[in-house]
Amino acid sequence: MALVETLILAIVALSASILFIKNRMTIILMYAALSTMAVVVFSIYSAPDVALAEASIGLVFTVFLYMVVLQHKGKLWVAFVKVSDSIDELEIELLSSYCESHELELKIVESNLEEAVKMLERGRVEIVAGALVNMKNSLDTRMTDGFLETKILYFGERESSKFLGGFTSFSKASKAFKKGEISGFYVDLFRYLHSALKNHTDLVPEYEERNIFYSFATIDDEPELLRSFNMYLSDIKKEGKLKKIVERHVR
Amino acid sequence: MKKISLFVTITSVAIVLTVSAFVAIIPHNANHYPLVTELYDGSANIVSAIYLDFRFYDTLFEVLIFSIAITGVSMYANRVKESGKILAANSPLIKFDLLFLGMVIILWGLYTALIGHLQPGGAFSGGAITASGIVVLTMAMGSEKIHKGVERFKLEWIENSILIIIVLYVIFADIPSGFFFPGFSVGKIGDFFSGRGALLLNSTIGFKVFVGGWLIFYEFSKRKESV
Repeated sequence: MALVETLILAIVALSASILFIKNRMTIILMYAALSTMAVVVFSIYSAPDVALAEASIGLVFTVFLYMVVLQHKGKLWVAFVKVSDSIDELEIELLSSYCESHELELKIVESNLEEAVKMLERGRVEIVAGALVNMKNSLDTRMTDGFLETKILYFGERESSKFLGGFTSFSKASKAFKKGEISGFYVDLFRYLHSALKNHTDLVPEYEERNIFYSFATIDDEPELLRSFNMYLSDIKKEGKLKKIVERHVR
Repeated sequence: MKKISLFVTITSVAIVLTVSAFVAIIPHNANHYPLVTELYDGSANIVSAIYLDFRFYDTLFEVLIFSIAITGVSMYANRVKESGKILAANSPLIKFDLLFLGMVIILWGLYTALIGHLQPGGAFSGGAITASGIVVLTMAMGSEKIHKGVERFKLEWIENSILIIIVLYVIFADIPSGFFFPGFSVGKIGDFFSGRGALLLNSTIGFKVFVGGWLIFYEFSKRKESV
């Protein structure tokens, strides 16, 4: 009876090891191997009818069913706000590697920030990307963990200042600020650098706030997406992959 | 195409018949109490005698639970927009192989269900084996042709109406032996017509399990579109 005990131990070991495998196809094939062993055990214990049923269900029905169902990939809809080439590429690479590891199809909708937030609230997209900073969560949106450190630059008065979303409005805002129409505004480093290089602005920030990170925005209704994305980010941070991706795009 | 399917059908029937003639499964534990079955039931397979006769209420409620599960799955899946389909196998060799395998599996399942009172087997395993055969056929021929059968034969209705047959059998099961169907007689152990209602019940419950498995596969293979 050593054969049966070995087989039963192997079944237990296989079923425990399924917990630690991330590739779905491997899990299905492991399941098929498990039911093959179960078939052998059933027929040794002289239950050929149970063995037949296990062979047909475990080896054919379940395996084909899972394969057919998992063929259809889920989709991740992302509203994308263009800011500057380097951070755009960084964000797209992060999102596509997230989709690759979770077997999703990446769908990108380009828009500006106001429309993107509206689409997020209406459920048209699941994630907004576009150099957003994780300063505060608004009522409906939740920010993921950050992937790149940055700082916020304040112009004018701090209390009444307003965050600039689209970077094209930087020149407008700076003109309005010079004329005295608005009392102050603040902007993140990437948008400031991009606009400053383009427009040769002579505005000097009065105050810098550090310890701010770029991140993505998700809707409050889907805590599962937020949780899995944060887990993915912390995973690649541990592996050092995040640092490599960031260094490739941002100097 | 028609010639190929005819050839496949005939050859797989021949294979199953030869295999079943030469390789009889020896019922090891299946017949420890021949006296009891000889007196009251007449099945050679004691397991079949128990679950189709002595403890038939267990089987009745098992079948009911199965029915409710199938109804729930199809009610939920009816809301999903149907747009997915499984394409037929590309390579003719693989297609032929899968057709052949599927036919053999289906016939073997039918055989297992029908001979359930004579040797290990029975309605549930036979129905599951037949459903696996249909899954293999779907992989070979593509989903459109196979899935038309679900709508054309109104399989859900047939599957639910079998429940009525089983309930009627439960009510009138105490008929004197040999009332209107030879399957109802106790018969001689080892005969094809023996084991009281075993033949009727094995074929109907087996068909029900088969249709249930097919429906589950059909509903789950519809694609869920995110709008």
